[in-house]
Amino acid sequence: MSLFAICMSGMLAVVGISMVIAMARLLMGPSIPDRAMAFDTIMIHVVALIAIYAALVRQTILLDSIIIVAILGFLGTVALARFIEEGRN
Amino acid sequence: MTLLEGITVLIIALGVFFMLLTSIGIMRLPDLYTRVHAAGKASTLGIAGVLVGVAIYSTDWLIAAKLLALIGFFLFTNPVAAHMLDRAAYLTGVKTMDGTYPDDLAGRYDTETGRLR
Repeated sequence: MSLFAICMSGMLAVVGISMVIAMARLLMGPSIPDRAMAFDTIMIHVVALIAIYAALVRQTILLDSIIIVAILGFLGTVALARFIEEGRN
Repeated sequence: MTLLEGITVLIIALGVFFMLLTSIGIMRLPDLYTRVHAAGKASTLGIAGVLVGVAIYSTDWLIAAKLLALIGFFLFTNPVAAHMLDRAAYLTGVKTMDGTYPDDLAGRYDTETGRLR
């Protein structure tokens, strides 16, 4: 295992830990916008995980799936914000 | 480890550091508005760092252009999402933390339509 692979695996681990912390906020958030914000953060972490893994295993085909995850994360967050905003009263 | 791999690891480590800061921020900060402040800016910088590192490592113009376009997409959409979440939270009446003194938006939203007067 080369030094590059060790460094990239360590950064995958750090992103995983960071995602677990964001998941804790998703589970315990006091209000619905808290959960929507944690969902947005988790989608960004998924993008970073796929990007680092694609650089680690040298599979550039994985980078196409990043675009789908990014667009789904943004549209999901905006849809949740609109639902929260229209569902008041 | 070649020079290219070293530069890649440095830039990706910077991005990963900012993503970890995002998670610590949304865990530790006291109310929703400060948490969205952390999630809207630091995660944009973090994901930009990670994608720039992967684009440097790919050594292919097509892949690099795709990743740079994705960075542009994140720079556009991430503040928009944070702003819409904050606006929805303010309209639904999420409380700020104790001691938030100047609330410039108090009474300026039309509660029927959700627009600024």
